[in-house]
Amino acid sequence: MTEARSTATRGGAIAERLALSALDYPTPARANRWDFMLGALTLVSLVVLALTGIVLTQYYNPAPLSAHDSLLYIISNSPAVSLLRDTHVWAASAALALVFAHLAAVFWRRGFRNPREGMWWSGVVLLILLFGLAFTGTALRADQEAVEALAHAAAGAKFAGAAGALLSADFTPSTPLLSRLYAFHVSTLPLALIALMALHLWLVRNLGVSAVGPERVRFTSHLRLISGAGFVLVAIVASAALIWPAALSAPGVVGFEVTKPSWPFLWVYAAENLFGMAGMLIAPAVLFGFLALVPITDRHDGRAAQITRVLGAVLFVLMIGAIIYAAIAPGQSHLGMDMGGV
Amino acid sequence: MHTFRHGSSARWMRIGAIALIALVLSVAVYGNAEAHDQGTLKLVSKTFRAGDSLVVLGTKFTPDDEVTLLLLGVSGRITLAKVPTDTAGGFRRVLLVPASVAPGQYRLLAEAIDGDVVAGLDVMVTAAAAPMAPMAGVANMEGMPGHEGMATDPTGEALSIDRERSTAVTATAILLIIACAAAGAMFLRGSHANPLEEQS
Repeated sequence: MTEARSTATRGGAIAERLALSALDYPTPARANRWDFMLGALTLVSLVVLALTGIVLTQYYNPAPLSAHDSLLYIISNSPAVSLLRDTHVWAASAALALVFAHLAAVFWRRGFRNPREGMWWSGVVLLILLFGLAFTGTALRADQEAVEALAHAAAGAKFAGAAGALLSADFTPSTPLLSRLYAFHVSTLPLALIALMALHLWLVRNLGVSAVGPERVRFTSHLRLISGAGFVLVAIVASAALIWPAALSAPGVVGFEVTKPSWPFLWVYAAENLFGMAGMLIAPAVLFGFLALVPITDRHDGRAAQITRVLGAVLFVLMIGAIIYAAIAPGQSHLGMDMGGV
Repeated sequence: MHTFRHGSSARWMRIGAIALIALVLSVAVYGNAEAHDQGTLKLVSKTFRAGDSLVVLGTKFTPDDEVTLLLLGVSGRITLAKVPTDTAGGFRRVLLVPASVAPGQYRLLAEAIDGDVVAGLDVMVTAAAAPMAPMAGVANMEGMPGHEGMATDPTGEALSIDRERSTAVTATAILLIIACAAAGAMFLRGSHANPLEEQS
């Protein structure tokens, strides 16, 4: 009994020094539902990505001619790091799936309305940054899919004119494009992500989640639930990494199109199938343009709000359909390159 | 009042003069930084042997100028040639890669007269009579899967790599997974929230 009290006192002392009582504020009881935890679970995936990524930076060589070799070295000579790489890849997929689910849930419950427009817009930019991280991460593999992703990005950059100059190999002649993408992947994009995440969480803390209902619970109970779900998510991601290791194909050969992108980019691939190179810019422009306009067109109940809701649902279904279509459709050349006998 | 105006006018004149000097200096520095056109280097193959001759094509350089072509890599900085550009800013030159160049990755650079890098290209120098030398900065890759495919047909098929994982690594991973799942279950079971009473 005395020992238990002593432990409780120690716990209390630590909590006091860490000001943990600040987390004991009231929050809507409805926020403890699963659809209100998707954002937090995305954050858990991002933490896994950061931790595994820090280890990978010590093994990965971003020089174009050594990148693929360093991955081969990790996979064949360093099994523990290879497992972390597999976890990194699965956590990236989990983050993107969860962030889309979070986006759909917030859209459906109209969590972007006054005064939460800033929360929505910061979330949209966070989504764009996540896509940027997924793209640069793919390019770092230096395998065939990576080379083709780079070729598509370079073509898109050329199409976009001055806006795409950063993705041009000639932007800084002294540094290869792959090395610059590595810098984006481990430095620029994560820093931007952390800054925007801080803003997003600040707004969530101070404006509250969009859950309705008079019943209130302590935030610590919500945090406990999120922690539990987070641990389960980490276990699932690590199990997937253990059972299905991340693939790596042979070193990329420039001038061929023989692969399809990974699933988060398949909807863009489908748009390229339909509209050619322009599809690569049109599809993201339509999606992110729509997402940016949502808080403006759906401010109050009415016809505009209904149209926004229907359009959002149609876009969501179209995206899922496009991903399935691109996954099963035969490969196509979008840059007029050789398809390697396909 | 008159004195005040005179003083104020003099001060503004001084500020104007300083701003003008700053502007002129900025333009001069900017003009100097942008003095060269960014060129493009082209090679028939980006992999070549030490001792080979190499055809280099240059385009989009500053017309009637001179660039220094050099290799930068594991053997340090190796100047290959100083090449004049034509009236269109281009050149074509056959260069000899010294046989003493160590195998490895290099960057073929074109430098303007003042040392600015105006073009660059990643290249691989292999040892004479060796198809592919070990990569610099990475442990010995000999016999590793994937290397044999470097110059063959492109494929998106996953490489069949022998992922030898010791029992210790697998067991540690499984233990960590079980620990995470158990911690998750513990948190989830203990998270029955009691509603707070409404504060009046």
